[in-house]
Amino acid sequence: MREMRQLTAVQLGKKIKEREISVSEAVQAALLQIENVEKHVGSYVSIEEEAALEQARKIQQRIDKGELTGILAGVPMAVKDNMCTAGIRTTCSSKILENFIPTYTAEAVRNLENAGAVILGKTNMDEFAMGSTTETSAWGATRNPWNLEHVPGGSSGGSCAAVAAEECFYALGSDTGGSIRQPSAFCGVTGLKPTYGTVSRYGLIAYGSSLDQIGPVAKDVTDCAAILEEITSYDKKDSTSLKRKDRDFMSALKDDVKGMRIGIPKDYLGDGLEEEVKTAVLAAAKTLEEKGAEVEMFDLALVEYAIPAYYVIACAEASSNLARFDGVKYGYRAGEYEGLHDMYKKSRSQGFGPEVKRRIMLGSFVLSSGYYDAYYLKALRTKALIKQEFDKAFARYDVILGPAAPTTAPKIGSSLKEPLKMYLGDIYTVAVNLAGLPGITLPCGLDSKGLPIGLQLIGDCFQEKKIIQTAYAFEQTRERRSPYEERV
Amino acid sequence: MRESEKKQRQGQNIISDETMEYVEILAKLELSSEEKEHAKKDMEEMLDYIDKLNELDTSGIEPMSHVFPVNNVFREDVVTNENDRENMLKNAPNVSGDSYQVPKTVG
Repeated sequence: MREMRQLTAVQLGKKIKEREISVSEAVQAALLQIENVEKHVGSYVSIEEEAALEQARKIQQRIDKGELTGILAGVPMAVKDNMCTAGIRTTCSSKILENFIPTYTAEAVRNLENAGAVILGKTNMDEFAMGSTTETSAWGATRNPWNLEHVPGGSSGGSCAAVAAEECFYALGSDTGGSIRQPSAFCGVTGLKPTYGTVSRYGLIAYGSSLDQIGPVAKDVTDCAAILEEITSYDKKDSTSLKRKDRDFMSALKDDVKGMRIGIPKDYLGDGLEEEVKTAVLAAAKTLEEKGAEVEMFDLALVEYAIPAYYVIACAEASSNLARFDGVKYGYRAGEYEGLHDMYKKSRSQGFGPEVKRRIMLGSFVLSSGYYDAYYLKALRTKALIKQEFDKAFARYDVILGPAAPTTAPKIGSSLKEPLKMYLGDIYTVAVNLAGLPGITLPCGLDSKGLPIGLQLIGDCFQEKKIIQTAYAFEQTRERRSPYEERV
Repeated sequence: MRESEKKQRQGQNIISDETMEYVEILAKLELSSEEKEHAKKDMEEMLDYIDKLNELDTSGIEPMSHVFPVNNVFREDVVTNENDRENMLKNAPNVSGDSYQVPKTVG
């Protein structure tokens, strides 16, 4: 069983195709692992055991008939709980959506279902994706499989922990300010945030609509490329969806970085970066250089302005997006109230957790009359400047390399007391969302506590292939590691 | 009132009770007095931090809401989804017959 569980999604898909493993066996292996480790890790909000086994039988039949021939057909996976799944409870890890059962499925999930995915369940997250630790979930924290006293990161902490703990073969996450890349780094898995507009946001419960993007969380770069091929689609139902022609991301899986121009922003190696993280990231850069890449340091200006601009924009959009939760058509409604407005207020105040309220209030404030120009428009102007800086950088480099986060996974309970400090941990990830860029995080070492360190590679818009190729070439130089064994 | 508050802040934002109440109205939230004190402190701290943006000269820079030129997507106003009333009503906290039930809204 352990042997099957440690397979990557693409390896498993191949074995299913070749009839070495049946879809039911793969689902059972994942369910057994869930049974064994879930009580410690807590990756899932809901586990769809019966539905998954039923789905496995149906998918197997379609594979046997030759109807499903894709690379991921029959591979069991998990979905972050902010993506709507018809008939499966979708809570966003919030009390306000505790009993919400969507009547439709998010486009990205549907694309995977069409490719033969078996959904094992929905994964835990920070409430409404607001947080960096998965501790703000109304259903309790997820724990890092590498060390249960530490957080898995967030907000896609459940998805990343589930992949690391071998409770699924891959997962979907969403990334608004680093929510795929940072937890992937903390959990020692590989996660990719695509160029804004690549994956449809239809059915993704919105946090910061201009920043949100769905992406894969997997065991390696090959899986990420394969999953991205399946979820990339033009969707009329998402007005920001792009028509992308180059969807053959797997063609970039080449062990070749000769001549690849890689820039390391000096500001990504400054104050606040843990020495062990810095050492590992620079060692990765050295490895790429030895493989023929041209690596140099450069000044990426405005790094320090990305976090304040991000929080203004994300909270402003959140305050508007989350206005729909009013206790009328779905979701939590307070038990006692006097009149309609009191019902709204009480339902929202009882249904949302502290971090969500904090961001809704900040967002309402920066959008309010008298402050709109000073905060919201100022942030949008800063975003334009940040985008310009990236444009200048990508005129010189194919890929920007740096850490995913300043530290490895912090201990559970240490982050939420000081929200501002937690926000500062997003320094290397948020600018990517502001500029709409693709970014990938993959493991590049373990620190002295045995916690994974993540390497982040950022590409220019539409240049996923360059970061996939660079990540793949780096990945070939090291062995994949799992929290359950020294080496896989 | 809020304008004068704004002038005072050069790194030290003060959120008055009045502003806090206004934000609660905008956000449709009702905070306990303890929550309110926390929220004030958090917001002051965040705004002090956000004021860092004032160091940047952004004159002449157009606010960028989307990275790519995004246009409205128009379509004919025709129904494409099926009638799913039963399942949709199942999610409602309160229903009356085929309708959502809410407190009386007009006198």
